Amino acid sequence: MADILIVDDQDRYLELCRAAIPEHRYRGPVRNLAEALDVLSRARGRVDCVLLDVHFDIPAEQLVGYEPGLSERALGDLRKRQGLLILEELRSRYPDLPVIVMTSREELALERELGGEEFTYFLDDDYVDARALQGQLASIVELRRSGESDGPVFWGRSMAMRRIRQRLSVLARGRLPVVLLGPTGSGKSLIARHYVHARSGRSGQFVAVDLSTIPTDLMAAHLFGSVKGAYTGSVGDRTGAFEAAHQGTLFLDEVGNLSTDAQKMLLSVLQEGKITRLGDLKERPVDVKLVVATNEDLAQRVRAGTFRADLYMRLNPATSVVLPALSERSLDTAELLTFCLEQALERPYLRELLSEYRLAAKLEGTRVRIVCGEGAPDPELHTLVLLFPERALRLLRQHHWPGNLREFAMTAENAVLFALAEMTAAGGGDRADVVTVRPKLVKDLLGALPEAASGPSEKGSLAIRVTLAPQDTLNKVSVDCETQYFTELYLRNDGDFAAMAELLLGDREHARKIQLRFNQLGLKVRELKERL
Amino acid sequence: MPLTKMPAPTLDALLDHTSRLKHDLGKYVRFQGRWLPPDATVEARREALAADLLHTRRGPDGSVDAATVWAEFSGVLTGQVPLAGEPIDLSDDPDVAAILAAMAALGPVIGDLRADRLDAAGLDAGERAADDVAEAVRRLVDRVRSLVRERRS
Repeated sequence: MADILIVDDQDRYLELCRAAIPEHRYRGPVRNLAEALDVLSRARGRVDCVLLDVHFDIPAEQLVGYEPGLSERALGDLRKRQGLLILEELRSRYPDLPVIVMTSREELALERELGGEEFTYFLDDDYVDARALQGQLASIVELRRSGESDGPVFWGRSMAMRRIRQRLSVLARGRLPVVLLGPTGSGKSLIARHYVHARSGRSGQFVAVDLSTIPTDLMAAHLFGSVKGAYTGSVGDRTGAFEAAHQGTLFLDEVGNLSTDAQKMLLSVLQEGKITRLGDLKERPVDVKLVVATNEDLAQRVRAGTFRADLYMRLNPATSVVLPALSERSLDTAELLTFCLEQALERPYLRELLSEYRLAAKLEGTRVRIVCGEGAPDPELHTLVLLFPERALRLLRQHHWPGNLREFAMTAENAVLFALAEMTAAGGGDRADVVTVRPKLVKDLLGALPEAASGPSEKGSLAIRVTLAPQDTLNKVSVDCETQYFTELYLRNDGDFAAMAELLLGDREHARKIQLRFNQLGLKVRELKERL
Repeated sequence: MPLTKMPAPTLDALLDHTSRLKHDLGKYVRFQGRWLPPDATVEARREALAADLLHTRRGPDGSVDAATVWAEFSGVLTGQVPLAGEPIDLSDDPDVAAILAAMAALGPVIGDLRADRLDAAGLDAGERAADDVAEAVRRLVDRVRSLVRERRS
C-alpha cells in the first residue's frame, strides 16, 4: 500500500482512485499549493507519490503566480497551467518526490518546454485510464521502495544517498579498489559486504579484516599468509586473507592502521596481482576486489608521512565514497526506524518475547505492523501494532547519534525489547493489540547514551569561513555568515525547507518564511539541488 | 473554412478553444465510464454514464451537463460566434461533424437519465455516443495542434 496525495481542484480523481485502485491510501484532494505543502510537511516523507491535476479552477488569490490587477485572460492562463506552477514549487522543496502530472506530455508540449525531471511522470493519454494509472503507480512505488534498502543496508530516500548507491553500483563492477570513508557506525562494512561484493559479480568469498584489531607484527601474516617457521610460533603453513578472498572481495576496515611492512606488501599486490606468503619464495596469483574503509583522513596521513603516498594513489582515492553521519540524514528517520524495527523483530529472542506477550494478552495471529510517527490505527484481525508515536520519533530525530547507524539500530532494538517487557509485565495497555514505545522510554534509552545530553558534538557543528576586508560593513559580514549557514542547512536537510523551519523557528509551518529569506540572500535552489 | 487554410492567429486561437473543449468535455464526457471494469453491471454503467453526462463539469457552484458544456463551444465551431475577430464555420470538418452528430444523439440520453428511464439499449447508445464525442474531440485537437506546429516550424 502506498500513500498518495491528490492535488486537484475537484474530487474526481480521488473518487475514481478509491473505486478503481483501492489498494493505496489517498490523502486530499488538496486544492492548491499551500494545502499541498501543508500535507507534505505534516506527512514528513511518508507520501510516496503525488497525483497532480493541471487545470485548477480555484479562487484567484490561491493561484501560484497571482498578483492583484491581473487581467481575466492572464488569470485564465494561470489556471490553465497551475499544475505546472505547483509542480515547480514542489520540486524546489521535494526534489525526489514522484509526481504524476495528470495529463500527457503531448498536451503540454506547446505550452512550455518541460525538463526531463527524473521524478516527474506523465500519463500516456489525457483520457485517464484506470489500469494504466494503476500500473504506473505500482511501478513508481516499487522503484521508490526498492531503492530504500538492499538486505541490511538502508539507503533511504535522500538524493545524496541515492547518488552514493548509484556510484557504488558502478564502482562495484570495476577492477579498481573502492575506498569507503565516513564516521564510525555509518555502515561502511555492511555496504562493502551486502552491496559492493553482492554487485561485483565475483564468485569468491567476501573476507573482512578489521585492521584495528590485529597486532602490528602479525598483520602481514594475517593478510598475506605464512609458511611454517616464518616467525616465532609459526607452526604450520597459513593461508592469508588475500588468498581466502581469491576471486571474491577483501574488505580492509580501518586501513589507516596498516603497518609499514603491510603497506609495502599491499602496494606490491595491487601492482603485480600476486602475493608471497611470509617466509616463502613462491608467488601466488590473487584476483581480489579490494574495498578499504576508514574514518581517518588518509590524505592527511600521507602528508604526515605515516601512510605511503604511492599506496594511497593505488587505492583509487579519486573515487572515494563518503558515507554521511546519521545526523545528516534526518529526513529518513521514520523509514530507517521501521527498517531497524523490522530487522530487530526477526531476532529469535524478540520473537519469543512477542509470543509470550500474545499469549499473555490472548492475541491470535503472528502479523506485526510497525507504525511510526502516527496514531494507533484501527484494530486489524490477527495484527499486533508496534507503535512509535510522533513524540518518540521526534526524540530520535533530535538526538545527535555519535554512533550513527549502529547506535540507532541498537536503540530501536532496545526500545522494542523494553516496550514489550513493560506491556507483558503490565498485562497489556488500553488496547492489547497495540504495543506503544513511550516517549519516556526513548528518552531514558537516549539519556543513557554518551553525548546524548551534551547536544551536538564538534562533528555535528557547522564550520563557517569568514574573510574580512577592512571596508566590509557589519551587514555584509552578517549576510556572508547567514548565507553559508543557510546553504549548509539546506544541504544537510536535503532541501527540505520545512525541516529548516523546524530547526530555526521551531515550527515546520514556517517553511515559506525560510524560503523567502533564502531568496533574499540570493541563494539559488536549482544550483544547490545539484549539490544534494 | 478548412483548417488548412486558416491564418496562423486564427489557428492559434482555435487550438486554445479546442484544448479547452477537450479539457471540459472530451475528457469528462466519458470519464467514470472509462474506469469501469469490463464486467461492470448495468447499474454501475448507468451510474457512471449519468455522472459523466449530467455532471460533466463540476465546480464550487455546482455541476453542468454535457449539453450545456458543448453549447459554450459549439457556437465558435459552427460559425455563430466569432473566433479571433471573425467567424469560422467548421460544420463540414469531419471531426466537428462527428461531435455534432454524437452530441445530438446524447440529447435524448441525457433527458432519459434525468428522468431515470434510460433502458439498456439507450445505455449502449449513450456510451457509444459519449465515446464518439471523446474520440472526435481528441482527433480535432491533434489535427489543429499538428497544423500549428507545422506553421511554427
